[in-house]
Amino acid sequence: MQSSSIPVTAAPTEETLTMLRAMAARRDLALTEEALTAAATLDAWLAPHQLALRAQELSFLQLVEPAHTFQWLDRGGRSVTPPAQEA
Amino acid sequence: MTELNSLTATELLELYRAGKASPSEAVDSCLAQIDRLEPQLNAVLTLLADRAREQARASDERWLSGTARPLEGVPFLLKDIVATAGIRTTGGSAIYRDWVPTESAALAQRLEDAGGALLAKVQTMEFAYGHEVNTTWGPMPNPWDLERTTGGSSSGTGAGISARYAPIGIGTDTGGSIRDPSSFCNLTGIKPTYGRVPRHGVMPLAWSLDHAGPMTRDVRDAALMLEIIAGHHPGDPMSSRQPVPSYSADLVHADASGLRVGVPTDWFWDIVDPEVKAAADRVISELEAAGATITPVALPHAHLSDAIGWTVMLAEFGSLHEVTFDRLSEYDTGNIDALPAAQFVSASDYLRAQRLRNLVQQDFEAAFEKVDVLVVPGSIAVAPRFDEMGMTLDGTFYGYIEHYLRTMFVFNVTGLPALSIPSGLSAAGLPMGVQIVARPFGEATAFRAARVVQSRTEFHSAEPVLVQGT
Repeated sequence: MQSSSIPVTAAPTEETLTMLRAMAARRDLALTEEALTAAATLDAWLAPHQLALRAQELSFLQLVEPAHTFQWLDRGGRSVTPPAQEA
Repeated sequence: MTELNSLTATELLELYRAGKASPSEAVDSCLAQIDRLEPQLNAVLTLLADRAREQARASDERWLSGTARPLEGVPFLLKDIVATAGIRTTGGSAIYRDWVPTESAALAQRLEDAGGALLAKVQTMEFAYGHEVNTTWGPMPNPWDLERTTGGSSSGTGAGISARYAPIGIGTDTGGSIRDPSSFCNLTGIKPTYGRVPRHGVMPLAWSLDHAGPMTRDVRDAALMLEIIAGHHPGDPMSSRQPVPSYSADLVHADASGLRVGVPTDWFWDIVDPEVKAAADRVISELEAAGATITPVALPHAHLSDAIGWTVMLAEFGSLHEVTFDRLSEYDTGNIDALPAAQFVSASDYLRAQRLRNLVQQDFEAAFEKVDVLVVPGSIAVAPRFDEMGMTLDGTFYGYIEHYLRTMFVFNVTGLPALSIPSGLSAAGLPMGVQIVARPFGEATAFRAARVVQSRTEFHSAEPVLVQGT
């Protein structure tokens, strides 16, 4: 049975726990050891996924901004403004 | 004779129009069903019997006087993260146990302005995030098998509509929370295009992934609901100003001639129960037999969507709950695990994930050059048992929270409209689902394809054994 509400596929390392403990202290977050372990568990699961995202090339000069997601939708799923709509 | 509570909204409206039934009779029938099954299902958080009866009496008068509105006298359920003026709205949380909003959510107001009768506020995972149960308000068993989950987070709407408490209801969907319970409970539910339905008054989980939409038992009801709740509202600046078509009128003569159906060649089918895949194949075959053409399409970046979705969701979720983070111990168990983790998503990871959404969108843009809709699995398996919360496939265990939403989260990441419809029952008699996905604001095309399937098949009308015995 998987009883956690977060993916549990890898055990958190002591190194991660120490890092998160320090970050929590710096931000004045009162986290129990149990909560820190949950955070480290999710961090362990997410880590390889983050590597996959970091491997995607997003060049400095290429304009890809968060807002483009919503502009793309508003354009009906097209990456450029259709000629008829250009000023 | 079929009980009124078992009819769809479209069927009820036909009876009202013909003077063969009244809203008061329908509301009483639905309330009686709630009374019969609620001890087993625990789907209702706040029952509004007297209020619904009062609304129904007003609707009776409107039908008699010829002033009926589009949803006049149709009972509906609201997931309890949708604010309702003067009615407790808990968010499925102990923290909001006694919160009574002074203003209704835009979509709730629109449903009532269209004549709908609100029967009940129903169960949800706390703040629309969680796992197998809401420990604050109790477990929400699946009407198809009380040992199994309804899925989430729109659990009460899933169970309630499936159990014939009401014909229609509202769910919300940040990573699959309309479509997952729809798959598990044999429902037709749509996560519309991002921005199609205003989220004003809907408790947020993650701003840039949150959607609200209809959960029903028939695509015609989903179309009718969407045309009522869609459209810009100033309370949600991200809600779209695109015109709202008459989705239901477009379905009167739906056919598949000329419809181009795309089927992804990869990723979506990598982890799918063979029965779910076979059922999806049958739906695709129905569309082909009805005149659609089937085309394989590649979506090479779709596999990134889980990582993007989780990163964005956690970061936004953590930000939203900063205000009550010092009350972590009062949160439900599902969030006690996730909220601490949400504190540690870095800004650069969050922004990279947001930028990469457009990369995944471009895959779909290329696909929609060739096709009008895509067909992909709904949930990757039937509803898991509470004591398993996952499935084993070829010797590997796939847990619910990590894997079951993988075919759905991608459409929150891209914002594309995704309609979940039943695809049949498994050998064990459990519902399975398939998604029909269209280009942005192409809900009408998804509805059309679904209507073709539902006009040629019967499985969307199947009832749980629990209901057959009432």
